[in-house]
Amino acid sequence: MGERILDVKNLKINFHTYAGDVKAIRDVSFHLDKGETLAIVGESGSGKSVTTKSLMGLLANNAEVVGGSIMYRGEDLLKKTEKEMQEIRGKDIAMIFQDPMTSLDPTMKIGRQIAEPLMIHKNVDKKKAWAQALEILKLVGIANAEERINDYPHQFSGGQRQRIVIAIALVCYPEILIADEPTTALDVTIQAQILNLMKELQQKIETSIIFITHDLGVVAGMADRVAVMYAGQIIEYGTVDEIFYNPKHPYTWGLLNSMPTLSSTKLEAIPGTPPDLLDPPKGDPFAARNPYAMKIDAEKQPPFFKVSDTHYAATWLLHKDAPKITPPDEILRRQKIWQEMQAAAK
Amino acid sequence: MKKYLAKRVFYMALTLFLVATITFFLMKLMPGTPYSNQEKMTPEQIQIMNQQYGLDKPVWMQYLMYLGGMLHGDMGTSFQFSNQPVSYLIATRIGASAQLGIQAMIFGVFFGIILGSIAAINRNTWVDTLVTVLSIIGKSVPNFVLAVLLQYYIALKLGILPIADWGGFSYTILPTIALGVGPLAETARFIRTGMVDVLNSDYIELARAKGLSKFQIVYHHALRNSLIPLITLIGPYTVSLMTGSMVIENIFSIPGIGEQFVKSITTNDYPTIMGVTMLFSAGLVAVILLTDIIYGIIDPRIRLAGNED
Amino acid sequence: MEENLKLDPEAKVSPEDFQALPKEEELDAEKIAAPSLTFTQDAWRRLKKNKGAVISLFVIIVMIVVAFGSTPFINHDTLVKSAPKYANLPAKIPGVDINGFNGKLKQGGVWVDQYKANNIPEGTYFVLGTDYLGHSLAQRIIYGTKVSLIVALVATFFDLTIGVSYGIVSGWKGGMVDNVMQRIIEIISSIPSLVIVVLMLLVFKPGMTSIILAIAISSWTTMARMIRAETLQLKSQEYVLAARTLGESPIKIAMKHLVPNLSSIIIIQTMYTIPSAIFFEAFLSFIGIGISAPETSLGVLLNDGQKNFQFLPYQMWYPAIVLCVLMISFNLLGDGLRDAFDPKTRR
Repeated sequence: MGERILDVKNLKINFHTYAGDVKAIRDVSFHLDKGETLAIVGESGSGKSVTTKSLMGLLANNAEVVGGSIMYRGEDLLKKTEKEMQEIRGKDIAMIFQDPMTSLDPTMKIGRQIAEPLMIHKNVDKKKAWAQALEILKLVGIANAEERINDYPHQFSGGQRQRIVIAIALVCYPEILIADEPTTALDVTIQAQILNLMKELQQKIETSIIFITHDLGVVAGMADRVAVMYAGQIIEYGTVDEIFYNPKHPYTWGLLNSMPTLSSTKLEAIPGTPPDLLDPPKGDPFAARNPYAMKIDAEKQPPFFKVSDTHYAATWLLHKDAPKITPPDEILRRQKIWQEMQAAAK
Repeated sequence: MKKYLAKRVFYMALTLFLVATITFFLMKLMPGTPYSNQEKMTPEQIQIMNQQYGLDKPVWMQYLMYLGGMLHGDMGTSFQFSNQPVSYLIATRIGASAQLGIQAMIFGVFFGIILGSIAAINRNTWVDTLVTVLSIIGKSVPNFVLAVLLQYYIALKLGILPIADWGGFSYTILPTIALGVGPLAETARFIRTGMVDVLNSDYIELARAKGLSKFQIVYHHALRNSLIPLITLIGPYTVSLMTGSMVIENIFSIPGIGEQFVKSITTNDYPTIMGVTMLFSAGLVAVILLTDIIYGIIDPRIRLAGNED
Repeated sequence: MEENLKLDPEAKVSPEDFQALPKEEELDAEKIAAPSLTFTQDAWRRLKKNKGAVISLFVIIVMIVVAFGSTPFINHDTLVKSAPKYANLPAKIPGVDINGFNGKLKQGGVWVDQYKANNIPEGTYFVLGTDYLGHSLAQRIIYGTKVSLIVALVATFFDLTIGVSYGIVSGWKGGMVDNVMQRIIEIISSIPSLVIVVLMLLVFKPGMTSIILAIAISSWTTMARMIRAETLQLKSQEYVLAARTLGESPIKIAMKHLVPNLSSIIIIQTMYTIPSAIFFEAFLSFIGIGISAPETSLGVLLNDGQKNFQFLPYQMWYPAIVLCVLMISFNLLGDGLRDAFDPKTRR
């Protein structure tokens, strides 16, 4: 892997609400290497969107970063002023949002919307900016781009709009692209097109991607590494193969178990709901929903246990004293594939 | 779009026709004759007067004559005010009213937009609260009360501006303010709500993610999107300005349509009342049609919907 | 990423800790924390949080109680009685010695006791002074407030009857009926309501009747439009469809399913009709084509007061304050109700 371009350490974010402080992000650390795609997976409310918004300095007014650092090019993004962040946003770190139907300004021609970042960041004049906008519009696969550049967002379909949003994000050739559930609001067939487009453009533009999703199925073809988030914490991370075929955390098991596969006959749901982050549990936050929960889970938060150089999981099940338990059938099936893969590698 | 327009113009004409008809027959129901000094007139004189005004003909003929006259701008002759034609009366007075109305509209809308935007950008701060309180007061204090207070305290006590009458621009300032505060308060409230919505929208989030500054976001994206719906308020504003002009022109002795209207009502000058009624209705109908067209042109989303129609 | 591996050095982990968690110790994973509230309860709870709205509601209730409770004491008879020797007296409140409220009036820069100057017997008090005919201003203002409230009531009545039923019928029937009904509304609302009022005033003589009729004709169109739009939406809701397929009569559906779901729009829109009706009456009376002497209203009082404003400012200030407080209260309550009933716009 290439050089490390982003390093998030011990990030803690609270939201002030009338009911008290919601501890949305509780000690999250991860990094991003040049050219790779990191997927952050988790159910809604797990804090994955909040994490990425903090990278952009786009947190809501009632959010407060309580601790940690976000190192980018040797500087802590959390210490930057709003003005300095404006220069980074859209130019070095860009973002794609979930719903393409609402993320374009309905009263502005799409050409102008694409050209806007160029005009403010690269100081190019309007004519040049439009020329470059046209180029990127072709690149993201909008047919008839010369004419359509003067159209308004409502004249495009959902998939086309997401292509335009991608064009806006990529027009300055950013070093990091954050994609926040970019395909969730799209039809399944369009989803695949958009994902392919992103992969293709990633190579052309040489950007690193942080890909946020609740859908593990999307992750498989997209990501190099995966971080699984639960209740404001990362609970397991590793390469995409490690997470898919040798998962260690019971929550990851649950996620994989609830994902349809060719061989699955029955989908298992994870029972219950995530804990209330107004008052997070003192032990393992997943304990209440964990069928393998142990006494210690209710009392102490598990540390990360090393599985391999790239694979870590925060569960007491990996402790040497922990009893040997049998994972669900689907996980056993995956582990078998993992063993075959390991054997083949040797 | 053309079909839609033709339909709208047809309804506009229908509305005006109905207003004309209703006013005409209501006037005919009126008890007594319209002459101010009837006691002093002999029956022969009344006969001559009736002939002169066409009042000796059957009602349906008077009605047709009235409609016919209306078509080429003849609104009859005033019974009062030295027997001038109503159209002349209106023509001499419309300038002052129009100037006052337009000035008040610009004043109200301009400052309303500024105050409303400031409130929305500083949502939930003391600035927002202040604007909200001011706009509630502006909406609640009747314009005629405000007019009397302005006239007394600014013009009479401080002596900065003329008390009444119609001369240069300085004469228009107080009546403009008195007339414009209502639209100002309404605009401020409307823009604030609209912009708060817009500022919470995904495309503003995307604009922030592009690295636009707060000013660029508000100026390029938020303002335009929250201004468009304001067009729909121009109709109601016109009504409020027409209504307001009656009382404001009276208080400040401005020779306008509103003042004329009140005078005509109190002196039972039917032709003038009918004339001004038609003028007000036509004005409002035209404004409503115009705002619909403008709305269709400005808002691309609506423009498309219109094409599909 | 070994930095993440930070086992608490003091933490002693014993093998017993790894026993499976007994079932009863498992935390209830699906507990819902917030108590459930009905829609109305929730709206009421939100309204109570809005200080402005609560104060306004209180002010309005006080005004209603005072205005209507005073009917035995302040009525047409007391309004007609004039007492010229008491004319134009400023406010005098027993036990208060603040200039302006102790019978004194500023004349040429000096505070002069008007009660003494006019030989008014000791012990005569007018808490808000008198008008040019020697009527107690306080009594007139209370009566005027009652007139305003009656106008408000009438406007509300027409909003609720004509407006709501017109809107429901138009939205429910749809098709040709809806089309015709909408054109009618369009025509009515392109005639300035002022014009309608003036026409009414000419046909009937100026007074309460014409004002009420004018309001009856013009006030309900906005309500009807909003109700129609909402009915159109509700019509396609599953529960209404269910009621229709079960063969319930349209009237029953309207009362049981539509009206309750329209209630928030009805309440909010009513709260906006009221101040504009109150304004309309005051406006007409102020320009002298509404209510006229010997009857009185806040608009009449303002018009009378305006004539003497330079010398007897209190004659205009007091009715003006009451009118403004009334308008502000209804507007604030309206805003409060809108925010309470429509959580979408709450911010």
